[in-house]
Amino acid sequence: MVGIPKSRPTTSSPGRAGRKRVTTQPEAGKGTLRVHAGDGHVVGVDIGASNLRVALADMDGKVLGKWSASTKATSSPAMVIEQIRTGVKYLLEQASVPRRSLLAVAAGAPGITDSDAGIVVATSYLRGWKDVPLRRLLGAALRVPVAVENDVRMAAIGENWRGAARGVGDFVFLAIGTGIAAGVFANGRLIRGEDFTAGEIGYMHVPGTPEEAAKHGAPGSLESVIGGEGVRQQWLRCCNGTGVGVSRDLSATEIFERATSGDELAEGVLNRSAKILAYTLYNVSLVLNCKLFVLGGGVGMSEPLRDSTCQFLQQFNEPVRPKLTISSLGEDAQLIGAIRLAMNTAESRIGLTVSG
Amino acid sequence: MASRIETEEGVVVDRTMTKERVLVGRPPLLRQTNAHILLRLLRESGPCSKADLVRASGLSAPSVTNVVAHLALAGLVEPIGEGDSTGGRPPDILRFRAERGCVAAVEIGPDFLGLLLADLDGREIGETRISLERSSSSPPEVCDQISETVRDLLRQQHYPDEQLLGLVVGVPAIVNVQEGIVRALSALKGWNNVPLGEMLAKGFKCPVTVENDTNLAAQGEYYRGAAKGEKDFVFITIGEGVGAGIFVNGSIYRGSQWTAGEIGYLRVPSVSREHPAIHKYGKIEKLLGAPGILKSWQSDRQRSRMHPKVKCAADVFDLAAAGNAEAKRLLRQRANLLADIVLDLALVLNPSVILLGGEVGNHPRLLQEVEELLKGSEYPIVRVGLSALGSSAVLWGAIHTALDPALLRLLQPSNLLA
Repeated sequence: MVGIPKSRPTTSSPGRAGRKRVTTQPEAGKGTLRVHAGDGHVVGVDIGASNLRVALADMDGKVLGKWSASTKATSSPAMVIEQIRTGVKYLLEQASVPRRSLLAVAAGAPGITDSDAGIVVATSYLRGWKDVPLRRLLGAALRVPVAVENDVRMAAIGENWRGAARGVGDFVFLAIGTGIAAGVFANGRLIRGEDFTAGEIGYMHVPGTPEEAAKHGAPGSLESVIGGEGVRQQWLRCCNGTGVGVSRDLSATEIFERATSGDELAEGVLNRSAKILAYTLYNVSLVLNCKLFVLGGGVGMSEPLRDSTCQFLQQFNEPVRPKLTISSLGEDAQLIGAIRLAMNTAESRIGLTVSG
Repeated sequence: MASRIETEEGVVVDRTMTKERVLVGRPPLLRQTNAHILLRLLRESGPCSKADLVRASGLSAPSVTNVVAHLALAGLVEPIGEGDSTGGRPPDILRFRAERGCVAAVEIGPDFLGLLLADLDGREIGETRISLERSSSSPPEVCDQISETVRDLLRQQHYPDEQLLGLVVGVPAIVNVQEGIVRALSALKGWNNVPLGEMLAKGFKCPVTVENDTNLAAQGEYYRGAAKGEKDFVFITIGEGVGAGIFVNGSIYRGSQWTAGEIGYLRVPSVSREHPAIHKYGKIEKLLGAPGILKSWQSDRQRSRMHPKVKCAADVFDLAAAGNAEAKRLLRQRANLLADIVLDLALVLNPSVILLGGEVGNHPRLLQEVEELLKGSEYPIVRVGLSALGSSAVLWGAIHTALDPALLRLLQPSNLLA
């Protein structure tokens, strides 16, 4: 699944990195010309709410090194850019890759991202991030072409390339962590929408979610029940109801695990969450008629949640039953998607050089 | 992830992620591409000279002369006399011969057949509507009626059968468009997995396409209605049933098994759950569709003799607009449902606009109510509007679906070389 077919260098001299070369390929038949992407490298960046991760890869997508840093104390755009620059420099040195070999960078951000203009429009996860021209800033800092994308869509690109949705043109990547959002692939392309907010289903109303409108800036109605914090709140309410000495300080995943070992309180929380998730998946699959949902994010990857949700979906007896599968890339999905997008960016630059 | 690169030389490169497929601009393909461009310019600008076409297209004068000669051979352009001279020999004025052929649109309704005939410029040249008796609406009977009525229409307008260049049929059902199979049509008897495309193709020499009616209505709004220029929008129809046509990137999105937009089954908080079967209307459809609204009104009416009598669902909304309290309550309830649907669609797709159409959906009072409810939503408001084509949206969508492929076929290298 690589955009432009590449050939390996036929001679031992690597040639100048990044330069396009047109070589003839004997096995492809006489006179067949192919674009050679060279021996360049790309960088993928995942800007998370608490962690910044950077990965260096070659143009076959092989990861040569990873670097990460905390963004908890240093989340202003300027500081994050500086951190990325440090990470890139470190990775290039570690892998002995010359600076000029870097062809492109792609970065995923946890918020509404205008990927056409390269702007992070808004995010509630990083302080001070509003209308940040991330592409321009990163481009100026690293002096290479840059692509930016919303982190959930980035993860969807990753799953489509090397994960649970490999080669599937129509699927939904559903991330459930603190918040809930979906990356939607339709006919092999991402749906971004008019304001780049397609897939922001954390605000969806389904049976079981609060009917009253949430306050501005507060989590959406769906997130407030089955997002990580929502599940914990459900659990705490159950605990308060019984008054029995139970462990109150559990994560959503831990609560779901307890349900499988016969804890009735936890089972109640799991059932309620799974049923609401089933309604959500059902509604999304009615609109899009997609066959496959890939569940990701800290809460979404819980197996008990997936199994219980599947059971509810079966009870709905809907005409088209989507398949639920857990992300196979896990927390690396965004980073791998970023590498893929950076490779696309590098290749389209080479493509333009050829036709221009 | 396919990408098309069109360079000045007219070379079209089609790259996909999985396959390498490169289409190069050999002369016949270039001629077809250029003919398509010149024809579009001629259709848009009206009669003009070759010099105008050279200026507008950027092609060389010999290229334009060459392509125009081929278009004339194909019967698609003709000179209509001399224009005003600007000094030299007066230029020949060319015109698009829209009467070179025609396309037909058919809408199969629950109790009617609608037909529309249009020339190659998409202008109406004939239409008719016949009622469909439930007793004689089996697939073969409907096919016969379609063939007969289309032929009658062609004869009336003096078009020989072979000038019909495309037929598109809209049905209120899930359709496998690729194979022309109507999966389940609940409004008519005996319509399960009907190979309608194949059946109709026996009676016509032109290509036949079968498509879901709501998808066609969305096409209609896109080409000549309220969604002109909108590449990502949703058209919701509320009439006998409820459905949505989804446009993504300038074309209809049908989903993995042709059922995208079947929103009649959505689970929203205001509706209790009920198991839907594919042949039955969903719960939302039962409430929001015209029969549901009428049913609610009638049962209220039995309780209170004060209720005025109504003929159709839109009458109830008219009463609400006139201040009737019961009608206002009913309208509010239905608007609540619709607002939930609109929100779901907006969250998943973030379209530039969501259009409401159909007998119930096209009511301005319903739109007003939905807009008010959406203002109270925590989520940024989506633009909602009314269909511009009303009950003719399906037929016009079918005409436009038929037109472009018909023109492209006329411009096929083999036809142009003739």
